[in-house]
Amino acid sequence: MIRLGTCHPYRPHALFKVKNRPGNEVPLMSHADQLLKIHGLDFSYSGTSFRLCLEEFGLDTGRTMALIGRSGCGKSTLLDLACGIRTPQKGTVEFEGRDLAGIGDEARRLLRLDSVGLVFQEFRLLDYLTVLDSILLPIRLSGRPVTSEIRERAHELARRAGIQDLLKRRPQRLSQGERQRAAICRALIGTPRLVLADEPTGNLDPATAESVLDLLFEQVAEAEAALLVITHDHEILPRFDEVFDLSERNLAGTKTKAGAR
Amino acid sequence: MSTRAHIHAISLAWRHLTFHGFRSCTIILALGISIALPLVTGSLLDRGETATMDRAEATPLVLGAPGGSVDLVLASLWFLPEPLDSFAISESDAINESQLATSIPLSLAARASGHPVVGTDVEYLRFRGRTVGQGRSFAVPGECVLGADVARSSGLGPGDVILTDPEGLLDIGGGYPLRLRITGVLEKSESADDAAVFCDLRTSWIIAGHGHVHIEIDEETDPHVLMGENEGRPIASSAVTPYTELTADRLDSLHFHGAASDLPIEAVIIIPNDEKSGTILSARLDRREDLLLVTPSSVVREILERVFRVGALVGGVLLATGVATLAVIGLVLVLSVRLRKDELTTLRMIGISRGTYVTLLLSEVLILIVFAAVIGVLAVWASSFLPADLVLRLAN
Repeated sequence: MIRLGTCHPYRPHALFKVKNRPGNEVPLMSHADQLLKIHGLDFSYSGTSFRLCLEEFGLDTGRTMALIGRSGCGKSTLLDLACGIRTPQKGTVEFEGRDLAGIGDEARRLLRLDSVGLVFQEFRLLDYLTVLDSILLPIRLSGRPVTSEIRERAHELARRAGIQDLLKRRPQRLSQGERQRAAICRALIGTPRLVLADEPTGNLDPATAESVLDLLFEQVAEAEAALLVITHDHEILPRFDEVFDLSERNLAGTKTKAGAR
Repeated sequence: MSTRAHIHAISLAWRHLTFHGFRSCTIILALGISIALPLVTGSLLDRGETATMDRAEATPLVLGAPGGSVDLVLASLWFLPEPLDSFAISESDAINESQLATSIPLSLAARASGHPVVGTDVEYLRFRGRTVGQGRSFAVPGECVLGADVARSSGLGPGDVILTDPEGLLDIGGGYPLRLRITGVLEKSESADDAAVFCDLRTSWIIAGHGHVHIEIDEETDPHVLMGENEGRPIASSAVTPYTELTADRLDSLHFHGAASDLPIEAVIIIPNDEKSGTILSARLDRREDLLLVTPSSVVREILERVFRVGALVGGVLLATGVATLAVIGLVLVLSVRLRKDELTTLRMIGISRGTYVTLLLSEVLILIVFAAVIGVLAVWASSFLPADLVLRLAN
């Protein structure tokens, strides 16, 4: 269940708006609906003074959440913890009820491949792959065959992202917006249940950022996935179901810590 | 770990290498050269050693004028332009007459279009097991057969002619070049015989000016070549003809200056009838201070020891260079991985397995090594077309 205390004071009304749900009311969710749950988190990087402490954090299936906070407060670290790239020293990070620390590296890797889509601020497209190959990359890395259905899905995603004519191009021949669209398609190709985006519009001009966000929200809604987005752009906060200010919620303090990501 | 994921990792490695084609080619070339150099050097040294020793061991004894034994062997077996003193043909005849051995005289002073002209008799070709592939062997003065490489490089064959080189460009009063008629081309033998021109001993003597034919000058048609008269006999200028040719009608006038037994040769190949004959002959000739008898295999073994000592040194240098190159390439690959940190981090975040990740990096290195090895193998293959005795020629 989402705690009210996790919400950002800028838009208290948005707390109760849930897209695609009749009545726009937040239903009382059972524990089974909670996709991501963090409890009693304590994480630090060795050799640095950075520390991230969270009493509670949760994100439900089908919800969108903006993660805000000062630079260095641990937003990116929280994303890493949420998808099992890192594991906390204390506390639990549960994905669909499974404690990520207890399932092992291989299971966490497979979880990222099968259930999580990642979108980065710098797009992180491989310069030697075409757009189509970039979109299909997670499928290929997972060892699954690229069936005609998956290929069709890649084309469909590209069509919806408006880059269907750019599938044979390499990243260096794409605009910033086109690159991020390709990156979003890559994140969604595996039909993830959770999409994590680290400042996806940070490198884009306002108009392009708006259209990229539209695409991200549309695709996430269609996939009925949950979306957790790190952003510094407060203008876009009203678009999210929830806003979580990590600077306020980090029990270890809010000052910028060296070594935090 | 899925096989498909590994295959895809190999595909990613290939795409990365082809995308950065210039860098990949540079690494492949550097790696290929460091692989090829020791291989080619080793191959050339091995082939050179084998071919050189084979020819030396096939030549029991060589007789020459006093001087350097190495020069004598190099000139008489590989026709290298070593300065040799000459001695009388009668020494060769004497060996034949002794009934202890067969002697094959060699006249080695002349050259034609840069190729050595070997004056000998047809016994030489039989001794070396050479067969005439096109045409026939030389039979009369003025005829010659070409080694296979000479024919190939000059484009000449039976029916064509080849001019001997003048002794000196400024020696306008010297002997005229002789126009040799080519009667045949030898089968390729992968030996020094491929790079030589063979003719009758008498032809060599004519080239050297020890014999000549008379050329008729027509006073009416060639007035410009007449300088005057001496006691009723015309004196021709050196513009009579730029070369001499031994045609059938001129052969009648062929004659040599001095006694036939005194005409010069530079070497004699001696083939003893048996070991005992060889020992007797060696004992006799070793006593002669005006002659030098050598056993080519002993001399060549000594040469090879020097050549291959240098070869081993070169091999060591190449090995050190190769190790240094590999170290640099290793550094380049490590730096390349560091430069690709973001890319590899992306793959790791998306969910690449450790095994697939290792496959990706190893595939790149392996692909580079395979292509470099192909260059090395191709270089060794290409070097097989070089003459087997190239090392000896270069060493000389």
